[in-house]
Amino acid sequence: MGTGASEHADAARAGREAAEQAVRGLAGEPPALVLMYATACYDLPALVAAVRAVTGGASLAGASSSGQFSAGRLIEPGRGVSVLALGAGPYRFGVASVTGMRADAFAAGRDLSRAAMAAVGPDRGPHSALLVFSDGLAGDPQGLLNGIYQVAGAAVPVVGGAAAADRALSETLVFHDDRVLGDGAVAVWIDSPRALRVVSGHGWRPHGLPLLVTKVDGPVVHEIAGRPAREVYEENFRYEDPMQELPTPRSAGYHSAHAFGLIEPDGSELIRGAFVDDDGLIRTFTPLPPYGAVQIMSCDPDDLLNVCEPVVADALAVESPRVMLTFSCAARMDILRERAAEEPTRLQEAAGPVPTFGFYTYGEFARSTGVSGYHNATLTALAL
Amino acid sequence: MSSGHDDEQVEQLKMQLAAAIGAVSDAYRHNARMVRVLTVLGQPSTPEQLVEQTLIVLSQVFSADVVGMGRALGDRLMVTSCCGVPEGDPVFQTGWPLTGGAAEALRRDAAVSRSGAELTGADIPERLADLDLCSGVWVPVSSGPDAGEEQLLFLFRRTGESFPATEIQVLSSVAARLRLAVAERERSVAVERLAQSGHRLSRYLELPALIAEAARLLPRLINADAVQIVTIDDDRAEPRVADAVDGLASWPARPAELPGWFDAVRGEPYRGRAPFDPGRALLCVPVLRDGGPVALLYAFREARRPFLSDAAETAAIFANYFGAAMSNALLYRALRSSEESLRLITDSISDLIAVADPTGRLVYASPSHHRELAHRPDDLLGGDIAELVHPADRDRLRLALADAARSPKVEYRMRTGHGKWVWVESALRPAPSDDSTVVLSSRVIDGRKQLEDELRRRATHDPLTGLANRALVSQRLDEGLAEPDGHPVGLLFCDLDKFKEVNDRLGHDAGDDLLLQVADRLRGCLRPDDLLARFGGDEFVVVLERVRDLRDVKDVGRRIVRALEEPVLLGGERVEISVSVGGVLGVPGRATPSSMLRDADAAMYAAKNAGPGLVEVFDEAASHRSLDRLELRSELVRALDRDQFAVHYQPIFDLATGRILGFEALLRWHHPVRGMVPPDAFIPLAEETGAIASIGSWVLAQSCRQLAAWHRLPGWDRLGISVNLSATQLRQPELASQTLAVIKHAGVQPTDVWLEITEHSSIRTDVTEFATTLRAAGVHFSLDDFGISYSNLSHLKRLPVQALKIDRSFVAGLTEKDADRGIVRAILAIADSLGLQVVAEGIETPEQRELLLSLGCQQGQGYLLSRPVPPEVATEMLREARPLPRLVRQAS
Repeated sequence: MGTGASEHADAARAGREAAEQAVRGLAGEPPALVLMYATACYDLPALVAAVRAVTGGASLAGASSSGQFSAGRLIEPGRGVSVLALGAGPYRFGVASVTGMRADAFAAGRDLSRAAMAAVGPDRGPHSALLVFSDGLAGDPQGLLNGIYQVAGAAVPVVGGAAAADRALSETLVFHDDRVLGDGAVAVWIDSPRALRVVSGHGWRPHGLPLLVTKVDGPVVHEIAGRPAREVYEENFRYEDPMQELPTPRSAGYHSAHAFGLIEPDGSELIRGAFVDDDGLIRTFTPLPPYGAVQIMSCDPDDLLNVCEPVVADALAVESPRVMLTFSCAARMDILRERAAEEPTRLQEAAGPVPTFGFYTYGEFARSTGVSGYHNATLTALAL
Repeated sequence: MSSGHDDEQVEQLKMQLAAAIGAVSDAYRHNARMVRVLTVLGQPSTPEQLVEQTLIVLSQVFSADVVGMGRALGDRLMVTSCCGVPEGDPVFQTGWPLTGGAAEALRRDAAVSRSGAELTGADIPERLADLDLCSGVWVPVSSGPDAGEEQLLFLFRRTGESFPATEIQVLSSVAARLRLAVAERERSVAVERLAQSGHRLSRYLELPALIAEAARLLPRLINADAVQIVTIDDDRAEPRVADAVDGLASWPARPAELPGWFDAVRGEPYRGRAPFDPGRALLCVPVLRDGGPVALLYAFREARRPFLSDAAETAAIFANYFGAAMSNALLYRALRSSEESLRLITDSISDLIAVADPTGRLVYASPSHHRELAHRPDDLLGGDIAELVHPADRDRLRLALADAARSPKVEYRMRTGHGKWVWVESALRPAPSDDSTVVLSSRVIDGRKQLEDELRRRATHDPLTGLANRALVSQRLDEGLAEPDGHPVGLLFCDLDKFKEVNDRLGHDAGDDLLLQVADRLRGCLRPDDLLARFGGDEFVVVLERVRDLRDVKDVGRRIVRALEEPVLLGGERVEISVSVGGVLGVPGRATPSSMLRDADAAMYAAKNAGPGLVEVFDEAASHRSLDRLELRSELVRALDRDQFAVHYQPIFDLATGRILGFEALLRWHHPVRGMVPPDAFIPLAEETGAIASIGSWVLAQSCRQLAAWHRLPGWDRLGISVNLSATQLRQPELASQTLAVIKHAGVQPTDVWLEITEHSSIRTDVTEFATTLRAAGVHFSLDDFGISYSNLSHLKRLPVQALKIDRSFVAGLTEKDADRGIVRAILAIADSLGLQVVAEGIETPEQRELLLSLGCQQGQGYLLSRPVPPEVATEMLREARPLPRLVRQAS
């Protein structure tokens, strides 16, 4: 296993540097899988080509990011590429991709898992997991998971992240081998002789009474508890601090320390970041289900940082891990602001000798129980 | 209160608040679960999608790892849909044993929940063992409409948390709702499929294909394992689905033996067990036409799933669609056979049948278009018919198409596939449809058009020379004179001067050749716009367009004369010809074609009279002459009736003795205004008009009667009479018999009558038979103009002539010209050798008489001896003179 990173402005050179560094870590072993996270500012085809020129025919998967981290070091949004070169070890990898998420995320999910499964071949071991990167602004990521679940079943946990674009709501892209795809998703079917463990944690705390979302239209929340959504949101938003500024697209970063918590059957909450758009409407990054029960959630930097250790510990509770794949939310970085670099540091410290490797996403995948597994403002991980 | 107590109270309150929030949260969660499930149940989807999405939502809201639906089939639970079991897992095919909680739930018809230690191997299928499932719930889905369709909804979790009563309650409601929603979707799908099946069936117009499609659709509609379709024809039943898995080796041939027949004849469906396989359920629905079954639709299922009323209803509706499609198929068969006949006809007929839509685009073109016009019918379809039509004819066709009812026929030129224009005649008929569609029945009429052109050309052209004829000249003059302010039009009448001689001497072929050569020469001296015509014979006419005055006309006339000065080569012989030309100028508004033709003719005559090769143009004098001639002509016709004719008699004398031998009868016209009209002036007119026949007959009768009177005078009973016959008279078929009748009727002997004919007329008309008949009766003939024209001695031998007359022109030159004297001598020698008498005409001087006598000519007439005199004067002369001593004029 080897990781590498470069912040060189030239895509070809940055790709080559990061890849060479990563391949060196393999000490001569050929890479079986290459993961690559990169700022969307790069000439991405040139970047992918430069990486592949070094890593050869090994399958490549990855996503555009809103910042990356590798072995405890943070690369801020807007620059840099990080590359992980992974030897096969006990695993076998099958990489596949699809497009057409916007049109039918469910069908895309089914196709993606079928193709990834087929890529790994018919002789599969007792355990598997799916590493998924999807376009962070295309369609319904939970729908993608539903499709994956339909094909892969309950026994296959899913981890990964939605591609990001340095805090911008512009194009987000995924990488598959030498291709750069929009409106798509790429998946790595990980076939393993031992059980694989997908974990997650966010540190957010609920406030106030649970509320029912009574009218929702895609990302726009119109009514909560039968009242105008904004009114209810403001009341609860200022639950603790009536002077708190409402988050808007123009505020620094798009995420604030307040969000919706979608109450799960087991009582846990899925974080759903929200903001007030130019028209004064409440919007979420992921549609809230109609008649979903929500609570207003809030957090402070310590709440967020304090999940690092339990998540890492949970993830590493497997046999001889070599690397910990971690996905943190761009919203967490926004909330942490100047303390953002503490998260990769604490993750790496908690992981000890196991290198951590990850990027800041526009949404995180962590499905281990039931079909639900799409998160916001959450830290998810899988140790291999 | 102490702060510690306060803190305790606050803590208690916080706990109570947390508990309250927790309770609210739980309540909202349950509520939200229900709402989420109901929401997905309410979303539009197919039954399969509905189940699939509901199971996913159940997995989400109940945090279940495996959620599925299964149907009890014997001792196994068949998984019909599942989320959490990987796709392609064998359990989707084989299901798992129906034991444990599942069996209990079905037995009790109530939800069963087990977790932890309660959950045993009997509850968890072996295939799912790896998932480490810790709790499960089985909820019966209320029995479906068909008995034996027992279904279960099942959920498993990997966590130990059991499904509490509240969740089971929710799940039971969901299961009931799901069943209803699925049933409703299935119904709507069935209705939709039924509706589609109607469309699908109606697309098949061949019975075998229709049956095959019905056999494919019906099982899907009513979830049948197999179907059979039996048609009833002439009291014979015939199974039509060859590969049907109907479990029957051979179907009964008699309809009455078919299962369900007696319900079918009542128009009702039959549901029951298959008589030949009690393990199968059977459904039979009749396809009715005219109240009786024409086919039976059979469907089969396992006996555990018998057909219920909804399946029978669906099948009955399907049978209606099938019946309608069957009728269509039969109609189509009949229609196709009639269409094939029609096509055979349209293929065979040479007429071009086409149908044009209201915009003129062809929607049908018969195959004959390929044969007749080299256009493939398929290439013509959709194209504007006018595009193929000659630009000059397009408007005519378009107008006709726009009003086909009133323009039943139209002729136009059409371009063939080879790029050639052909004439086409189309009969148009509005199509029976209400729009302006028109049926065109067309024929290529190129041949007819050519014939018409030829006829038109012949009607207006001279066949020999190809020049225009009188009709075209009249038309051109009409056109030229029609414009009141137009240019004057010139007209030239050209008559060849010596055509008759050429024709007589060299024959008709040479005459025709001459006319052709003359036509060529005339063409050469005209402008392209001038019209050259031939009126027959040797008359050529020229119409001159846009002339200024009569001088222009005369100039062209002179050119024509000069053009014919050069001799013509006929059969290697150079023949001198000339032409007499009369010209006239016609001014629009004043002249008429007939006046111009008349005046040009008159001018031409004037030219001819003035001598050969001259041009006369019509002026006032000529105009008068022309009118004069016309008047004379019309008066001549009536002169006989008006008793204006008289016969004068010129005595023929014995030159030696001075005695009268006979008389030559000579016609005289006493015009009441003009006085005596000379024979030269009116005899040609009489010949032209045909009046010569009756006039000649009258002269003969008159002369014979006079002769009879003279015979009664003492001593004159042997007197002879000479009467002239014109060439026109000679052409009368009954002349011989009429002449004899007139002679006899007058009371004279034929031997007393001498008929004078010219050599010229005897050549042009075959007079042999005529002369032979009369000669046999005793009539004498004398040749009037011997020596002047053809003078062929062989004629003298062929014709029964007894006398020759020496023309006055020879007698006149007798004393001065040696040539004339030679001719007279020769004539006398010939006559002598043939035993003919000779009479000299025009003796005006004693010298002439002496000379003739000295040459041996014994008879003569002339002013020296006596002018022609009226009959009474002639009678007086006879009375005074001495009778003839002997029969000097009787032929030997």
